[in-house]
Amino acid sequence: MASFFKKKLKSHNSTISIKKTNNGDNDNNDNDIKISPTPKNKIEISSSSNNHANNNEIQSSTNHNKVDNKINTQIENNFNTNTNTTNTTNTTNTTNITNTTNDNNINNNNEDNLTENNTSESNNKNKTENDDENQNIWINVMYDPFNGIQTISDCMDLVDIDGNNEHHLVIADFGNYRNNTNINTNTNTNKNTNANTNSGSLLSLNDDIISINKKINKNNEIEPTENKKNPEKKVLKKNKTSSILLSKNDIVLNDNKTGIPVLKIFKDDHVETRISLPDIPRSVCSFYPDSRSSHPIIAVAIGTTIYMYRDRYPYIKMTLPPVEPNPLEEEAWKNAITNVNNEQKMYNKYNMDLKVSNISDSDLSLNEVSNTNNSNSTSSSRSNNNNNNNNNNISDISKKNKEFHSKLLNIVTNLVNTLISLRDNGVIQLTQISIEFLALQDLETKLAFLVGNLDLNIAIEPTITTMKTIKKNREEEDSCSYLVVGVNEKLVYIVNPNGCQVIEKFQLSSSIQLMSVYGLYDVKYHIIVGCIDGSIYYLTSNSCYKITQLEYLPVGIITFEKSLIVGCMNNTIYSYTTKSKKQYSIIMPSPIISLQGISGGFKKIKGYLVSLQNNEVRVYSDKNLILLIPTPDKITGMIFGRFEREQNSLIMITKNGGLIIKFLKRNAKSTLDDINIRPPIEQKQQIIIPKKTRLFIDQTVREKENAKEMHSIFQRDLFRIKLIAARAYVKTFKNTLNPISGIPTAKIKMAVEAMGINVNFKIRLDIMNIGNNIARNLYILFDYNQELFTIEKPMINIPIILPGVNYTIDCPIKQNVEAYDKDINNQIKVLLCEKGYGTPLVMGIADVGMCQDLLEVYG
Amino acid sequence: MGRFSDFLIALGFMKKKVNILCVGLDNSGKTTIINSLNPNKVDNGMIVPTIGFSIETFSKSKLNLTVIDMSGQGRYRDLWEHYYVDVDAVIFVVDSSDKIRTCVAKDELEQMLNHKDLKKRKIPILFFANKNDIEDSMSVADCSNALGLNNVKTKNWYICSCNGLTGDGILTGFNWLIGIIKKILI
Repeated sequence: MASFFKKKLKSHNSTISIKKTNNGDNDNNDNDIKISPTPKNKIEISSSSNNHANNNEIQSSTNHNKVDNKINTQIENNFNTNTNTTNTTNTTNTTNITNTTNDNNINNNNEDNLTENNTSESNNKNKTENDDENQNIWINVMYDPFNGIQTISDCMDLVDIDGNNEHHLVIADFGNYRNNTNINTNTNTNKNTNANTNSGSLLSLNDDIISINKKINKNNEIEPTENKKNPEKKVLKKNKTSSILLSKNDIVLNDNKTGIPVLKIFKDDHVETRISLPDIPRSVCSFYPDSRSSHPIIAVAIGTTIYMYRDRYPYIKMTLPPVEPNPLEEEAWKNAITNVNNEQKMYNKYNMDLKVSNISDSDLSLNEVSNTNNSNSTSSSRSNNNNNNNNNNISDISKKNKEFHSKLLNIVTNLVNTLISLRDNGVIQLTQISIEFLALQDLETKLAFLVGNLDLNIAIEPTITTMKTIKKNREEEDSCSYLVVGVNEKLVYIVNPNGCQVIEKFQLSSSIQLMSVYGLYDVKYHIIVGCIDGSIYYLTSNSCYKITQLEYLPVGIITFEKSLIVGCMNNTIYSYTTKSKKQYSIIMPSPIISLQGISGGFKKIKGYLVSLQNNEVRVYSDKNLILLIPTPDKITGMIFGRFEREQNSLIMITKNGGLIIKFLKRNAKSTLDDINIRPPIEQKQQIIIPKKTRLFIDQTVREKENAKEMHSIFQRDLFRIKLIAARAYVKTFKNTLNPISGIPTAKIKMAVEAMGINVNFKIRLDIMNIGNNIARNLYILFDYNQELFTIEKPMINIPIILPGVNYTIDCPIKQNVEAYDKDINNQIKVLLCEKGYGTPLVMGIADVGMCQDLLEVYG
Repeated sequence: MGRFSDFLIALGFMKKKVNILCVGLDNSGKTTIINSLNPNKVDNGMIVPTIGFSIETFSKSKLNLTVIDMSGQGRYRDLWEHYYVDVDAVIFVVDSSDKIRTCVAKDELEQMLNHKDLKKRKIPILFFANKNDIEDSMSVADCSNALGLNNVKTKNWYICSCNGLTGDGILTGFNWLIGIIKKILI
């Protein structure tokens, strides 16, 4: 029964398994499909580097554009450094992703001694050593080298736009800004509306819409008449309806590739929404306007204005209150302007009396002034006609003109003098307009400026250079926030975007360039501000002081609870405490492009990202280098945080507009979290030891391990040596080879010495009686090979030896001819014997060298 | 189980107990799929993100199934590996509309396959390419390529496209799983 069941089941299974294999085959066939990135905007990239001429044009434009251009040039400094990278279009489609597979390794250098050679060596080493640990830290999601985005870190944010916990990437793209000439026209149209508002106010976006409409339709006839009349406050609903129009137009614009700056909202890895911006953005922030709202607002700082977008649509436009000039300066200007007006009225009145037609406009009066000033310039036909008609009045008119002109000149000189005195007193800070007015070349141009700008208001709108957010009273992500805005006019504002009120204002001594914020506004906060002259300020609710004056200009600032990090243009990162004490500095191998803090999952880490010119991004925690990410290009913008549903993701924008997305692996987080607790990774690295040192170390290690054996071996050998010595001693006694005789009756010492190296030589015997008794009846015998040597007296009698006297006996010896070639024993034994005894007293051996070579020489 | 219970199972008087682990990234539709499999569960249309894990037991084609529905959120994924030891089959759910995170799913899959408790064992893995109703979602072939399933050679696996909301395709995959389990265990 059971077996039957089993069989049935088996047959059933087999059919399924066949099905499965079929499926597998299908999969194999589809194996080659690759998602290759589509090359967008390539033409723009390649052309962008060639158009410096246009850019110069922008720079030499009027006053109002000048501030915007400052931003231009700043950004350009970031980008312009590399000009050799123009992308070829067709070939590089497939060269992606593979480049970035092996790019994760922990560099374990001593940062302070860092040199380029060191890093490269250690990188290679680490790759081999720590492979398993490091390679799996990142998941490479995508690398699209031709995304065509031009932006910086400040203009990127990750925003939960729909309130459904999916954080989309928001990028304010500069567009093809170097090629773009029609951006700056916009600021002029805005000027009128801005002049009417004396405090921060809500404005509709209609002006911008119309100005953009102008660009699209090339139709200048649509005038924003309605908006000029009542620009103060508009119903928000109306904004929304008009804003739909804006976004529709935008799509058209971008398809035309006019290179206008665009706010791009991504969904996954593709752009979902594009909203075109009126000018090059400086900063992008996202915040929740109040604690109830689930949808955040995206704020984009452009020029003097903050544009706010909500739910992908324009919402509010906000300008900061204009910087009020000093009353003395304002009065000087007012006086001058009223004087000029009065003079003009007088002049016009006189002309009316003369019944000269067509002179009622102030423009024409200016025209006349210019005519009289430049006598050789081509005079306008109209005034010529007038002059012809009234020939008899010509002399009169010219006289009057001269009078008028001299009066105007007087006014201008007065104004210049008062302004100069104000400036030189040093009490007040002149506005930018006054400074530039004083810098104009001669009185005539100054006069022309004054007459041409009779409606001048020297209170100017501050130009935003940097913008950040600060949470009000809770640390949660969706808590209500304020905006912190740094402006070019040496001010920092904290703005409540809800009612557009300035809550707090800080006056500094230099233009604000960089800013970083920490803390909660209601509890405790501080703002670190980097100025354009290299000074760093610490601002908080009740105190404000200068932390330091840097020698090199800062490129990025990040602040933590009690410290701050400044990246400078001398390739160095400095760390200061908020109490203005320097902590440490880290030297980078190449110039720093940008700095970005790491927020999110790592609360223990004071982490920050540094992108460098040598195509790498470094992740530091405090002063420890955690990661080194090689990138395919220079990274200009990067952000770390929650992207879509992934908690720890790193998004980078390359210089040529590429987009790189990486996710941090889940299990990598724990290794990064305790990076400050565990000993630095440098400890793991092996030191290269010289050969001798290595031998020594090996030896000590061996000694340590085998101490017992080594000791016993040593002892055994020592005993052996002692034994050998003892044996040798005994042997000498036996053979009476000892130079001192052993017989107690006669203690005689004999030394034998062979002298001479030639055929004839002698043996000298030194005999001494060291005993107390007299030795008698002694004789000396020579024991030698008779074939080799001839000794005249082979036996010498010594009748008596007194104690203490040294007897020297020389025995001449001759070497025989037969001995020359024989290599045989050539020892001569000398025996000192006593008559009547069988054994000799003392025996000595003389080694006689064979002097073969010498014989050959002498023949 | 003793020899007697084996006998009973063979005769069909007693049901074999099978543990199935259901894993996948957050928001991929694990709970929805399991609810549509579970005949006891009443579908009320409201599914909240699972926290930690939840266990569903139901019987299907003479097997007593215990499905452990793991949470897919990043911080709970560490829990997965604790259940690898006594599991008989794995269901891996992939959100085919979430293209950007398929690489994360691939990474998690690799970690699972290389885990010491699963590496040596020959357990079946059923892949669900969920949310095929969403336009612009990946096909089955794309999914298996993205997950690198062609390299999985030590395990029995099967991938099918499905829609957790309507239940399309779930039974196809599940029947395959049941068949394999029966073949291995009985």
